[in-house]
Amino acid sequence: MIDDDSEIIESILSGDPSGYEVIIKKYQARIISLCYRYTKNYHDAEEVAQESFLRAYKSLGKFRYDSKFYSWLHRISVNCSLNYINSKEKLKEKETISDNIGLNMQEDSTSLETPYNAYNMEDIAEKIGKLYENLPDDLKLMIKYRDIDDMTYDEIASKAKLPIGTVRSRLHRARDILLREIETNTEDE
Amino acid sequence: MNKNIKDIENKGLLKAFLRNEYPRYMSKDFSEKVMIDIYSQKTNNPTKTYLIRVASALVFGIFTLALMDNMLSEDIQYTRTDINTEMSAPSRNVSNQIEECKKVNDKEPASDIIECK
Repeated sequence: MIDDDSEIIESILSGDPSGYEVIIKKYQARIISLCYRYTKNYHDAEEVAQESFLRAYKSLGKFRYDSKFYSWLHRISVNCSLNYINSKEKLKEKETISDNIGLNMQEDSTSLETPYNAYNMEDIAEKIGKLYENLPDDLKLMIKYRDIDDMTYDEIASKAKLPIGTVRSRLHRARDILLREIETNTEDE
Repeated sequence: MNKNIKDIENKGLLKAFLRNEYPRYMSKDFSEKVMIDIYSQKTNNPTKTYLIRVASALVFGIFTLALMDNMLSEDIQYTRTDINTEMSAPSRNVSNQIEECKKVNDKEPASDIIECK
């Protein structure tokens, strides 16, 4: 299977670990979000995600391209999250003093303030959501096919009955609008 | 930051937002933290670790040998006395409690016989 990340993976395996930063930046939000579903805690989610990326890096040589890299990374993250839960469960068993000490499976709802040096993703997501809804239908459809449904350019062209060049240019225009918004919200201070 | 990497990061974020797969917060330096971990592990190369292990095993072995050699070469002083000779066999019906013995009828003993309780 041809993977978008195969080139980066090959460069990492040939001894240049710097390419791995691209992989991390590409998938960090989705992986942290996945880990958050298990940990229910912002801080722990990042720690488990960090462990997942690290484990994936160490096992990169075992990646056989029989699935997409993201699916493989997703599996590793689920395993890391389950390990986290198991270790917390064991810790909870040892705790006898109070039910509140130990496993914190309560949703992290008390910390409404954005932690220091972190992006408030909900704020950005809201802005992106509004922009996406206001996109012209033809552009919105391209975004849906490519970024949500994960279709290839050929598949989109065939489904929308458009030349592949038109698909590319529409997608570029649509993404440009949305990415500009993300850029303004994630600019380094 | 390299513009290309920033573009990739933003595209990743866009995908996460559109798919509703984003955390509430995300550290700005998340990727840097992971890369620091990766580089720190890379510097701890396995050959170096192996050599350190072999060296510590050698040091431990030499130390143990030196210690054993020192213990075994110490002069042991043997006594010439036979342990059996120091043991006195207990005699039957003999009491060592001399204080308990009294002279019969408070008289001068006719003989040297002392009656014991």
